[in-house]
Amino acid sequence: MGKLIKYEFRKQRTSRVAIFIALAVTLAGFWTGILFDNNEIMSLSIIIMSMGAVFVLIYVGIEGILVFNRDLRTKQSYMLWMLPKSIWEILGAKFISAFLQMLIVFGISCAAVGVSVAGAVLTIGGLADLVRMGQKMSRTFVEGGIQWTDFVYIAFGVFLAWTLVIMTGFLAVILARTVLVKSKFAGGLAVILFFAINFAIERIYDLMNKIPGIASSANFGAVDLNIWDVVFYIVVCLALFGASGLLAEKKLSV
Amino acid sequence: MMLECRELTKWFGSKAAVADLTLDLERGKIYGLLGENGSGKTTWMKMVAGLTKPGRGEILYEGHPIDWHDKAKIAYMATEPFFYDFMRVGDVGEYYEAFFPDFDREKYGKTTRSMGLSSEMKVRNLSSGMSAKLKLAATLSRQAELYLLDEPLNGIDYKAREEIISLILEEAGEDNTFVISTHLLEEVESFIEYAVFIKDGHLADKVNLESERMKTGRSLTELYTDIL
Repeated sequence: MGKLIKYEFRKQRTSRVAIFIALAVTLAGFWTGILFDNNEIMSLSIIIMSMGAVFVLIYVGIEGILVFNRDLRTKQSYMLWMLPKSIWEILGAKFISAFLQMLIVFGISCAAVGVSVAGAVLTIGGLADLVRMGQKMSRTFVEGGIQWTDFVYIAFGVFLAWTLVIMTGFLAVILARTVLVKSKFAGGLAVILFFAINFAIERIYDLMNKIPGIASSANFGAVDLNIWDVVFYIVVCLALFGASGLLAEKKLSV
Repeated sequence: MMLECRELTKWFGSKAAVADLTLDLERGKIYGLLGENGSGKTTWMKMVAGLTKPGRGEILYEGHPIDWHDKAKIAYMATEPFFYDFMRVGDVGEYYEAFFPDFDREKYGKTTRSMGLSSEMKVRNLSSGMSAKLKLAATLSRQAELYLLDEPLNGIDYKAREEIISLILEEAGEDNTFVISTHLLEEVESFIEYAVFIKDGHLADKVNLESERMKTGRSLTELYTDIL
């Protein structure tokens, strides 16, 4: 599976490089503003970075689905589907490479922004200000009742929600490409199916929460996530993955 | 029997691209898959290669229903360019070596060089002729049991065709089977053993060329005209 992941990850290199170049340019603008004491350039860089972050979050979040759709639409799909690999390995590799892409893009972006902000505070206010900033952040968390473990729960919750999006996307794309083989409308159908499947999952989630005892279950720390939510997400993700694999195995043509 | 197709059918919308096609292929033979454009040759090949799923019927490979494991023994070459456009010629070899245990990297290097392809050339910049040569080099560098070549001589100049036919004949043996789809009847007549004629998705006829020549003296072109 490692080799599959390597090539799946390679398919996302262009977007990765584009995101890092954009990040480097905005950070360069930010530092230019600080070093030459130019507030306009610094503010503009921060605005572009903030707006860009929203776009990158959405794009990288669903990039795995877009790459999968492209894999089924073009002749390059043969490169993947002629391999002596099971559909489970192929879908699994796609999921893992999409996760790695998220991890690397956000890991490097957060680290670069964090280091830059710390560097800026250090440059403008000196070491004392940097220490004060760290202490203030810690105090804010403590006074707000936020524990460090809450960050782990948040990360886990975000991971589950993202996995659900990816698995829903995979099933929607496979369904659309199975029903409308070679049609240019298959992409549009995949989008409609994506929202339809999401709607159905939401309704099932609402029904689950009507069962006595489930809605009142204790949350993990300060995060709006309980054990039943976790079980629900995992079961639904596995069901979507299974349905995608079986459908692709039996019906999908490229 | 190496490959058995039983009442194989594939619809695209209301049109049957392949309809109730029953066909057996033996090991150690070279088959020519002949038919007009849109007759179902490519769809049949893609079903055997595992890229397209049949609507009905079954494909048996060495007696068992064909599955993804069999792709390790089947080398399919599509008629269109299909390599990832971020690849260079050398990357294609690396990719095939990574996924196909029967791939001979040394042979690939030798074949691509003899075809004028250097490992640094970008796949997306290749001309259609060079791209066709690259597909063949990658496919024929596998030691597969079943080769499915969809119009391998398309877009190839006359001199290179000779080289490609030599490559195919070098690789062909008792242990493997070739199925070559083509419209260039004169080019393949000298070496194919069976001509499989497909019309409107149906098997129109399967002819042993040597027996036919002995019996009636008809050329492949004449057979094509008579049958289709």
